[in-house]
Parts: sequence; C-alpha cells; structure tokens
Amino acid sequence: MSSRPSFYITRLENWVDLPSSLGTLGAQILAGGTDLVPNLTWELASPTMLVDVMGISELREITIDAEGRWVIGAAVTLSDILHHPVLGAHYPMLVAAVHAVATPEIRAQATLGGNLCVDTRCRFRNQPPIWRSGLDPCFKSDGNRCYAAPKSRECVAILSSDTAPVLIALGAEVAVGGPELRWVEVEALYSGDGHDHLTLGPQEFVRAVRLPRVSPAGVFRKWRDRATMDFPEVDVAVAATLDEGVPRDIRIVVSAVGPAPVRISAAEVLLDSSPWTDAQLERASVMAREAVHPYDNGQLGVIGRQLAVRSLVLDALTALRAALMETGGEQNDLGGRDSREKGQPR
Amino acid sequence: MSKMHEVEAKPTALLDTMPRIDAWDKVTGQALYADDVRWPHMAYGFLIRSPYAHARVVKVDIEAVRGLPGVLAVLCGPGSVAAYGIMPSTQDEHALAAKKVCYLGEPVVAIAAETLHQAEAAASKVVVEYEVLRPVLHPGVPKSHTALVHPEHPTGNLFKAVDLEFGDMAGGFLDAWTREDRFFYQGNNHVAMEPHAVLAYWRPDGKIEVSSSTQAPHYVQRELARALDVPDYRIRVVAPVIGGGFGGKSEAFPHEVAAVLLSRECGRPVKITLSREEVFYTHRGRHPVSMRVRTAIGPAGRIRAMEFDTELDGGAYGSYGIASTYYTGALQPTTYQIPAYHFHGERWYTTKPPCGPKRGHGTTQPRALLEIHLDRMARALRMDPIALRRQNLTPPHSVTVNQLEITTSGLAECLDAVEARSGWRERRGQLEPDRGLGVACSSYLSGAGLPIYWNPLPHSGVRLAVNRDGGVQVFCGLTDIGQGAQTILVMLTAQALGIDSQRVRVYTADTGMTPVDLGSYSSRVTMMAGNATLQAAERMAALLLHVAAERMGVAEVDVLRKGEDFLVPMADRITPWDDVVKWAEEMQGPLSTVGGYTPPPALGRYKGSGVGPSPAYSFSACVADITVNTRDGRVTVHHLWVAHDLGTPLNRSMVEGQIRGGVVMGLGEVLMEAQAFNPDGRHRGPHLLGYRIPTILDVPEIDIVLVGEPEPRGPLGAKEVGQGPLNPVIPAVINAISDAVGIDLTETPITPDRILRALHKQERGRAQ
Amino acid sequence: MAGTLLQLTVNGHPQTVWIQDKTTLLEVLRDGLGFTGTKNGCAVGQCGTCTVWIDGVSRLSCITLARTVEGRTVTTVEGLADWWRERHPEDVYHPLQSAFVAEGAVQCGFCTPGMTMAGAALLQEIPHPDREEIREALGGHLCRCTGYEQIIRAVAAVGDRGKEDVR
Ligand SMILES: Cc1cc2nc3c(=O)[nH]c(=O)nc-3n(C[C@H](O)[C@H](O)[C@H](O)COP(=O)(O)OP(=O)(O)OC[C@H]3O[C@@H](n4cnc5c(N)ncnc54)[C@H](O)[C@@H]3O)c2cc1C
Ligand code: SF4
Ligand code: FES
Ligand code: FES
Repeated sequence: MSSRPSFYITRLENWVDLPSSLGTLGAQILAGGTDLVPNLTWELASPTMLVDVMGISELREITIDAEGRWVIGAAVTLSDILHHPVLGAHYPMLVAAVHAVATPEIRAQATLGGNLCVDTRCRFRNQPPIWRSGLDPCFKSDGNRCYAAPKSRECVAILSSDTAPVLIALGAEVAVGGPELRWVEVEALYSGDGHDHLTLGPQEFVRAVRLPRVSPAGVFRKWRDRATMDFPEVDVAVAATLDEGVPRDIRIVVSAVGPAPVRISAAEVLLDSSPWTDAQLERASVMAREAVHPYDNGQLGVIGRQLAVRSLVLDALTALRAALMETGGEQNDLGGRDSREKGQPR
Repeated sequence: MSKMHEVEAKPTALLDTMPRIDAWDKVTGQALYADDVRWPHMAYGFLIRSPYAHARVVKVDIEAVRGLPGVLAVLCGPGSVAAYGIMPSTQDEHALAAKKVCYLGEPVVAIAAETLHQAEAAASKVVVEYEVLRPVLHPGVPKSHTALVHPEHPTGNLFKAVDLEFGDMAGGFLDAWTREDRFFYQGNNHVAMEPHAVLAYWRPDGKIEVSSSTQAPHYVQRELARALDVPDYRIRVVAPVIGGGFGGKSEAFPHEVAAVLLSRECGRPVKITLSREEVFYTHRGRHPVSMRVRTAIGPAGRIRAMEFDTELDGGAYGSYGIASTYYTGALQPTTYQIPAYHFHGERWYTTKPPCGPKRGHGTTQPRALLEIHLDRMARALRMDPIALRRQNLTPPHSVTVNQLEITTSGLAECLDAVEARSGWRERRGQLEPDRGLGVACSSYLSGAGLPIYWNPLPHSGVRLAVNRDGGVQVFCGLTDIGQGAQTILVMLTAQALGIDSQRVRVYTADTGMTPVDLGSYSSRVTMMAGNATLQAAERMAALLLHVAAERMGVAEVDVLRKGEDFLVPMADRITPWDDVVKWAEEMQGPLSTVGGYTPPPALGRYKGSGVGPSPAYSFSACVADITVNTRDGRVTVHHLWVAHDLGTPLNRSMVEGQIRGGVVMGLGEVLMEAQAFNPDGRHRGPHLLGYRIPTILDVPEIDIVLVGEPEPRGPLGAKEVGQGPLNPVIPAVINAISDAVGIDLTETPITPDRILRALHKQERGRAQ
Repeated sequence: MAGTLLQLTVNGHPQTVWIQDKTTLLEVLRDGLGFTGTKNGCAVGQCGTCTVWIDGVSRLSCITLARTVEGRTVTTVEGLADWWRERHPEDVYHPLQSAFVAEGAVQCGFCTPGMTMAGAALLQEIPHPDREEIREALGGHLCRCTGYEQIIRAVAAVGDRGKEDVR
C-alpha cells in the first residue's frame, strides 16, 4: 500500500453528467489512469473525487462525421487506435505516435484524451515521495519557485504527449465538452504554463478529436534513451500537403521541450516560400533549434536535447521531402534533386 | 538469430541440459519471495528516511506517535548497539542515524504498526529537525570541517588509500614510449527486479528468526549479531526465493537491523519491504571511479610497465569499500603480462548512498579504461587492436607480477573466436560510414581466495544425507539468487552418486539448518559449494560402495555401477540403489557425510594480497559491431560476439543465461545506466524511468562461444561465468564507437545526448 | 475513509473484498487475496512485473485502480494453468509455462509471472508470433537476469508448436 491520498471514484455512463461532476471541488477525470495513478501513488496529485469516464460509450467510439472526417472519442484507448482496421492506413503518422507511447500494456489502458491531457513532467517533481520530502514546493506544487528554471516565473515542466505534436501537425481539432461544446485546434489546448497546462475550464473536458478529411503527408520522430517505454525527450512532427506540386500548409511542430508543443512558424514560412533544398531544410532545422528553449528537466542533457531538435527536424523534413516527392511526381517545387539520400548534419 | 556455439566438443557433465529445479515454482507463481511471506500476527515496519543528503539531526520527536491507531513500536537513535559493517576493519554503520545523516534516504526512525498504512500515517506525525549541511559530492580533501562526512574519521573524507608496486617501475618507463589515458566510470545500481524485503521475529525465548532477500545469510547473521550484541547462534537467517542480487544483497542493511529491533519492541514478527526508491538509496552498487593509466610500451607492442590510479567515490559508508578499492587494481595483470606495475587506489567518503559490490566488483571500471587504453595505444602504434593484445596475453599456468596464480586460461582462444566470428579481419576498416567494430578482453575470479573476515575455516560446507526412502538431502548455506546454484548442487550430487536427479533435494540459505557457505558473491558458488558437494557426495558414494561390497560378499573393486544399480558381474547380482541405502542404514545408522572447500593458499604475502587470488580465473573476450547515428546520437548495437572460458560448462542453458544476462547488464552500463546525483545530493531519478535498464528492444544479437579446457581445480572442470562476461562489453562498445565516428569518449554512460555533444564538438574542432 | 465492497472474479472464482477507492488491483491481489505470484517491482507502471489479465487483456495491476475492474475477470499467473486447462483438458499447464522451464527462460523468476502473462496473451492474439512481434509485446517487461533471449525462444517455441491452433 502507499499513502496515496484518499478519494472517491464516481463512474459515469453518460457524458452529459460530466460537467456537473467535474464541477465538484477537487474532481478530476480518470481515463486509463496510466498517468494519473502513478502520480497518485507518488502523491503528486490529490484529487478528492475521480470521475471515471471509461463507462461513457460515446467517448469510446471511433466514428466518421457528416463531412467524412474521422472522430475519435476521448476515451478510446491507444491500442484501439492501433487495432482499428482502417484508421491507421489513413493516418500513419498518428499511428506512429500512438505506437511510440509507453508499452503495450499501458497502451491497452491509456486513452487518447488522457494522452492529450497527460500532466506535464519534470525531473524536479516527478520523483518518488522521499526524494521530494525535503524540497520546498515548486510552482507546480503551488509553491513559488522553479528548480528547473530558477529565473522563470512559471512552471516549465514538459508536455510529453506523443500524440499532441502529431495531431497539431495534422491539423486536427478537439471537441471540448462542458457546459457548452466548442471545437478548438489542438494547439489551443495548451496554455504554455506547465503548472496549469491545459486551457480547459473547470467543467470542461476533451470529448473527441477530429481528424482532417485527408491527411497531409507527415513524419514523426521521437527521441528518447531506450527503444521503448521512455517518455520523449524531444518529439518532432512535420506535415505538408502537395498543392500542384508545391508543398503547402506546412507544419513543423517540436514538442517535449516545454509545457506546450511549439510550432516553428519561421521555418514553416521559409519552406512555404522557397524550394526545399538541403540548405533550406538545414536552415529550417536551425530555426527550430533557436525557437525552443528546453530546460534541464528531462532525463537527457539539455545541450543534447537542443542538438537533437535540430537533427530531428532536419531528419524529419528530409524524410517528408522524400515522401512528398514520391507522391507528387516530377513537376514539383521541392528542389530536392541535389539532395543525398539522408540529410546528414555533418 | 542469436546463437550459442561451442568451438569444440567439450566434456560436459551428464545432466548438462537439466532444467532448473525451481523453474516450475516460478512459472506457476508458487515461489515465495521475502515480501510474499506472511507470518501470523505480523506487523508492518516503515522507515523514516532523511530527505537531505547531508544534515545534522537536531531533534527527533517520536512521542506524538505512541498511542496512534495501530502503532506498535517506534524507535530512533542509533538503533544498533554497536556499529557494524561487512568488513571487520570498517565498522561504520548504524541502523538508524542518531547525530548525522550522510545520504538522502538514510533511515532515522523506525515504526511498526498493525498495517503499513498505519505505519505510514504515524510516520507523518514524527518530527525530525535537521540542520542541513552542504552535500559532499566528489572525492577530494574538503575545504571546511562541515564538509567532513564522518568528522571522527582519522583521514578526513579519505576512507582508505592503498598503494602497491611490483617489479622495476623506473626501469620499465626508462626511455620507453608511453601513453596516458583517463576515464570516468559512472556508478550504477544492480536493479535486481525484486526490491529488498525482510521479515524478522524476535521470539519470546530470545531467539531471532530472520527471512530476508539476501545473497549472504551467513554475513547477515554475523553482522546482526554484532549490531544487536547477541550471540550468533541465537540468530537464524534464511533467504527465501531471491529475485536477483548481482551484489546488491550481500551484506546487512539498516532495514534488516531495524526489523529485528522493531520486533523485539513489539513482540511480533515485523516485515519491511523496500520501495524501488528505497532500493536506490540502500544501493551499495558500482562505485563511480575516476581513473588514470599510463603505460610504457616496448618494441613490438609489449607492455613494459604500467601505472594505474583509481579514485573511488564511495558514498557515505564503508560497505565492501576496502575490497572494492583493491579490486580496482588487482586483475589488470591476469589478462596481460605487466612486468612492472604500480597501483594507487583511493576511496573517498561522500554524502551519497554507499557503494559496494556489483557484478564484476571493482574490476569492471578499470577493465573499461585498460581496454580503451590498449585500443588507443594500438591506434597510435598503427597496430591491430587484437594483435596488440595477443602480444601481451598472460600465459596459462603462470604467476602474475602481483602474485596471482593463473591456472588454465583460454584467453587466446577467446580472442581467436571473437575475431573469427565477427569477421574482424575482413570487416574492420571496410565498414560503411559511422559503423565500427571494437574488441576487449577480461577475466574474473572463480571465487575470492580469502573470506571477508579472516578465518582458517572452509569457505563452503555441505552436509549430505541419504534417507531410507532412497532420497538424498544436501544441506549447504549457499543462496540461489536466480543464478541456479541449487540446480548445480543437484546435478553434481546426482552425478557423483550415480543417481537420478529427482532423488536429490537441496536445502540452502538457512543459517539454522545448513553448514556455512559464505554466500553468493564473487562467483564463488559453483567452484566452492560445488567442490564441497562433490566431496560429500563422493564420500557417500564410497560408503555405499563399501556397504554394497560387504553385503554382497565381494571386494569393492568387484562392484560396478550400472545406472543407479550396484552390479556384481561375476556373481551376476544386481542390487538397486534403494536396497543398498537400506543396508547401509541398517549397518551404520542414519547416513550422512560432509564435504568442505577451502581455496588453495594465496601466493602473495604483501598487504592487500588478500584481494585478487582465486582458485581459478575465467577469461572472456567480446567484439561489438555498432553504428552511431550521427543525426540522433543513438548507438545501435548490431551484434555482440562473446567468447568465454569457463572450463567445463555444467549446465548449458544456465551458462547461456548467465552470459546473456551479464552481457546485457554491461550494455546497460555502457549506454544508459547512471546512479547520478543532482548538485543538492538528490538522486537524478530513483525509479525505473529515471534509472533506465535495457528493455528487450534494446538488446542486440549476441553470439556466445564457449572455449577453454576443464579446470583441474573446479568441480568437474568448471570455472566462473556469473560475472566475467559483463566486463569486456563496456570497452568493446566504446572502442567500436571510436572506430565508427572517431570520437574518444571519456565517461559512461554513453547516452544519445552525450554522443550528440561529442559529435558537435568534433565538428567544431574540424571547422577550426 | 472511503471503503466499499468490490466484487470481481479472480482465476475463475468470484471474490468480494473490502477496499478503499484508492486501492490498486495489485494491492487487492497481493495483500487482499494472497495472490502473491503477481509481483511488485516498481508500483508505478515502469517494470511489468505486476502484469495480469483483465478480461483476457494483459494489463498492469499496479496502475489499475481496483474499483475500475468491478465485476470483471482477472487472471493471475496462479490461474494461468487452470485457464488453459479449461480450454485444453489434455494439458495440465499452459504450454508457455512448460516452454519457460524447458528453454531456461527463468532465472530469479521475479519477472517471470509478468512475462508469462504477457507472452500467453500474445499467443492468444497472434498464435504464431515472429521474433519481432514477441519483442514488441514484451517491451514493457524488464528482466535483469536473462538478457531476454531465452524468454523470446520460449514464446517462439510455443508459437512454433506444430503451427496448429494454440487457442
Ligand atoms: C512507464 C510509462 C511510460 C509512459 N510513456 C509515455 C510516452 O512515451 N508518451 C506519452 O505520451 N505518455 C507516456 N506515458 C503516460 C501515459 O501512459 C499516457 O500519456 C497515456 O496516454 C495517458 O492516458 P490515460 O488515459 O491513461 O490518462 P489518465 O491517467 O487517465 O489521465 C491523464 C490526465 O489527463 C486527464 N484526462 C484524462 N482524460 C481526459 C479528458 N477526456 N478530458 C480532460 N482531461 C482528461 C486526467 O484527469 C489526468 O490528469 C507513460 C506512462 C508510464 C507509466
Ligand atoms: S519546471 Fe519548475 S515549477 Fe515546474 S515542476 Fe519543474 S521545478 Fe517545478
Ligand atoms: S509493479 Fe507494475 S509495472 Fe512495475
Ligand atoms: S529472471 Fe530475474 S528478472 Fe527476469
């Protein structure tokens, strides 16, 4: 047993009841619990009531809406997504990200909503109880300091959702349930403050994720220490759509380097307006590196993580260029003909 | 597909593929580990641990806790009567810290309650006030008195310095080409999958029963006796099924002492189970070591002389530290002939969890540097790394400069095997970009020649009994920590008595029931308990033969064995084993023999010569084939070839398992594992995401080759396999990285971020 | 403190236990019901030793709140043989258990319950898994003793059994 704080579990069958349950002081959603339960065991969370949403059938469905867009309920498990007969073929990048999350047992339990809302993590807080007992609380524990970034005035803990950067790159939207339903871009889900990292209101929750009708071409790269199980130290997702041979709607997302995924807009603009030569891709990757400022609160060293941002963005863009060239035929504006097979940073 | 090869048909024991005797219990969930056991009316213990790495304990107030629901006992103060410690010369531990805490996680208060929940709830009411001191994180002379870890220690934070010199150093270095290299080997933890647990009961009659996840019940018994000031015989320590040790369960720990004390206090059995976090604080794992080596090389690449300095970051207490320190200098000469050798070792106190033995005890770190050093030397000399090693191999049946007696050695064959199988000659230098091959050798003891505390007694004792049911019982103090020691005893007994292994039962790891065996450490069990078992079994075989001959009225030479039966061909008589056993009991009373093993005396007579000698040494070599991904910094290990000389393999599948386990552990050490600390003395991540060990997806193809000849001193020719194969993996991988991308790394672990940094540095260096 | 009764089926037998809502399934199995075959190697989802089946799916019991498996069916390593025998009366044990013994896939045995449950679940899903599928399925299970190879072989050996249906 652990000294997990006590709480009640309420199991709901209908999402209509969710907003009012969440309105209770100290209430929190329990989906798969693969993030929340370890945090409870380490006394990192102290809800008084957990609202179990796994019995709400509407949240567990994968459907196609009237406009032909796939809609994935928030409580659909990650392994349901992997096992879906057709979804994967349409959104290979999403499958890659889902597959990169944790381990098979965890994916059998974890949900997409839980993954998007997964609590931010930090090497100075996501530690077991004895470790933390001698430290004054930091911002994320309602204290007034940050160990990872002593000069920062807010928490810079890491969002380690692997699906978030991919869903942003895909241009997916989130249905936020609550007193009123609203649709927002996935990006808008994150506040940028590691302490209160979601923009959800007190009675709000993620109800579903809606994917674009046609998936852009995309590449996802996850950087971590081991081949499996580990959270990301850097995530990169890039996507673009070929419009008459010209890559459009370019999205370059770097994640797991701060409390919210970061879009590298400068690089997106750059590649929107010029051919994808090796030099341009290189430049875009440098922009990515300059746009993100990881702190030393991950598992791997901060300089290495910065270097990895550049390498991974370059690698992902190079792979994306190859993929686009394959689909786009000859008359495109990719300018990649001079490129080597793999973009080597050296 | 990963394979296991044997270079030539090797003599093997009869039952060499016998499955482990405990496997069925483990696959059905029947095996009981320490935390699985409940004793009637058992209470739960909980330790309040220091949240600071270094602090004075100003005040401990436990009064508020007495009388809380369920609370049965609360203890603070030093706890133990006398200081204790595994090495007789460094008794510096107490179960509960009284004046000072010297690492984060050091126990201060112990509580027993009806439930664990109540114990933990009570713990939150205890008030401990600390005066926080600056943590001491690095070896070296401290600048102020408050930075002394143990102010009363006569040499300050220097725990121990040792210095050994053999041969003509001045002559060796005179006019010679020399090279110097340095390396920092990071500390790491055993991460046995089973966290430690203990169940202790101070009985009303004053006898003390302890069931604990330990590799060395005998040492725990001894240390408890000292810590509690009770005679040894009143304490019985039993090791139940153990979920891995790797050196991490080799001495008495505070929680074991505390459980006994709590039980004395409340009159009930008390169980304490450590959380994974607590295991990282209890530690006593691999020392972080800063090392320097300088070698003088003669013509044709022959080593003329070598200096080797090591600086061990020992953590807060002594543990096995003296032995660990000597071990960082002891085994360099067992692989390579070093005519003149100077070793200087220092171990320092710091305010971190104490370090001690982990698989390869003290030899892993210097082995890494030595093998890296040889590679860099080969590069400078434009020699093939394998050729350079061949020039210097310590021959079989020789004595090293530091007076270690080498008997059989298959090191040359090890090198031949990995060279041939890896395609070294054809492939090295011809590989695609960023791919590399690296080689390394190693050797290890088959049991330490001397015990932890000096005594002339056998290192292993066996009592063997044959019952009238035809079954055989073997009693031996050894612990099966997962390596399969019990199975080996069954096999050896069955072999020596000529009977079916089903007849044999072993009773182990129980100081109240078995003769002493020092424990499962230093790869000593097969060698020592194996020889003791063989001796007892051979005595029993002789006794039964004698009885059979007498009852059948023939001379002993006329009795043959056929299967289990006793056969007298000339009289055409066959007597089954069961009948002979009954005859023997009828004539002699209950049947019992004993066996013992004492290693041959060590040759060295110098101070420190006790560390290093062994009845026999195993040898290994490894070639690693890797690619460095220069984009993301990941090292992909494609293939490892490992050759090991363990004399005769007794059980093929268990040998393979030991080698694979050791090799993968080595891979973890070189690529990811670090018992590292933040500047405030907090562990970087005392959990399995913060401290990462290889998953199944991190493991490459591993080919194993067994070489060597039977070792005359080993039971049926066997030597060690439990630790040796780990050591060469680390330098082989590092050497392969140098070969692949030309970066010479200077510390472990080699994580992707470190590779990226090193490549970045290299790139900048080139640009300039 | 929130205490209520929990009903579930463990290894074929209905059980009723008094739990708090914060209790995990691992705690119910080990401390409440005495199914100590299921191990606690980390308590927070990082090692795989606590793996059991919930309605036939391999899951980590340490990060599953017991309340959320109300009314469901749990199989632990102690019940694996029975579960198999119900479907294959000719066998006494699950073939993967026999294979673990025969292939030397067991050393200290602490990872073994989790490994066998995950391996057996894989064999249900993919009767003849290849090496990569086996490695993939066991990715969340740490073993410190074996280096994994003999475990892979054990699962593969069952998968190879005559390539006939092992369901
Ligand atoms: C060993 C281990 C490794 C892991 N590795 C990874 C990894 O590599 N990548 C990764 O992304 N994650 C990883 N995780 C974290 C976690 O498993 C996943 O993020 C998972 O997807 C979380 O989903 P869940 O349903 O279990 O969430 P829960 O734990 O149930 O919930 C997580 C958080 O989201 C909130 N929440 C859940 N659903 C909703 C909703 N619909 N609306 C609003 N809020 C909601 C909860 O209140 C809670 O705060 C790992 C976890 C472990 C234990
Ligand atoms: S980033 Fe700072 S505030 Fe946030 S959890 Fe880490 S230490 Fe605390
Ligand atoms: S105990 Fe559940 S995963 Fe480690
Ligand atoms: S057999 Fe020991 S952890 Fe796997």
